[in-house]
Amino acid sequence: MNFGVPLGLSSGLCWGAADFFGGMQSRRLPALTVAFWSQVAGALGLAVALAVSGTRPTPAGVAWGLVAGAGSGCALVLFYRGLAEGTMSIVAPVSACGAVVPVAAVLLTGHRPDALAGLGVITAITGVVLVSRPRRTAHDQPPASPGGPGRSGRVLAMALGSALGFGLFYVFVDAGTTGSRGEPLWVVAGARASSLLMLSMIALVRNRSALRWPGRRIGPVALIGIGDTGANLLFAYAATTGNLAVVGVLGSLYPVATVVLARWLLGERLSGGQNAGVALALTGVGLLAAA
Amino acid sequence: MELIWLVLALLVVDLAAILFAVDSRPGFERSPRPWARRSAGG
Repeated sequence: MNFGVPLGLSSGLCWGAADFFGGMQSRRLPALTVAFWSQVAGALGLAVALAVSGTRPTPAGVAWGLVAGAGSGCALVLFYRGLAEGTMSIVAPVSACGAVVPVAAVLLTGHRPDALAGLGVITAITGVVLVSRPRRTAHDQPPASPGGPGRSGRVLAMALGSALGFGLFYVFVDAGTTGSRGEPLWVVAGARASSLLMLSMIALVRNRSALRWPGRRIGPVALIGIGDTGANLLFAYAATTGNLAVVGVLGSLYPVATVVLARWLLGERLSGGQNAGVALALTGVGLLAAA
Repeated sequence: MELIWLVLALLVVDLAAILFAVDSRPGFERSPRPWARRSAGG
């Protein structure tokens, strides 16, 4: 039996749920605290996976991982803060549009991406533009929201910043695994090490208290990191057992889980145009994953 | 050449994280333990 499809779906569900609860915890704790301690918990899970796998690191693979992590930890802080301050049903799909970045990287090398990737980019960007439009009431007035348009603009900037960081993560991890033939687990381990270092440095510069022990919230925060690492491992295993194109699309649909949880548990509602934008952004991400 | 653009983009993300790292939301900027104050305040 081919386990690629259920494992790919499970990875997407785990990623989406971890993101949702990461955003929820960031409504109670500073996003930097949630990102740092969840990454620590995830790193412990990763260490166990490395010990079990018995694989050996390659210097080039780990080096590319270190570069990848320099952006992914920062992207996580932006993402969690965006989820905490904004509408999760918008922030999650916009952040997932980081899948556009690898296509841009292909263009930078002077190559032309294939038609499916080009269609995915156009669809995803159209979706982002649609969800970015302010929701209007029946009287065609923007709704009153704490912080007003300035806040929604800031949240969108954070979502786009996280998209850029996650997209760069894909590019550098691909360079470490495909380009340098590094063991994926060790590339991710390198990324985790540098992302923790970056988060520590940011905390030292801006707010040392953000790295304090999160007290009784350590349980849920740790579960977020373990869920995220578990999703990575599920995806890696799914990719080795199933069709990578199918598994990639299933895994890339993780914002669906975040959107469903936000609607179900938080009662988030979007305008018709924003709903269309979310659907387009997700379709674009799926097309990019399949390309 | 493309590596320069990628590294510049990486710096943009890092800079954005540095700028947004300190939560300006009420209850986040002073106390590192907002949950403790919340429970103390009822």
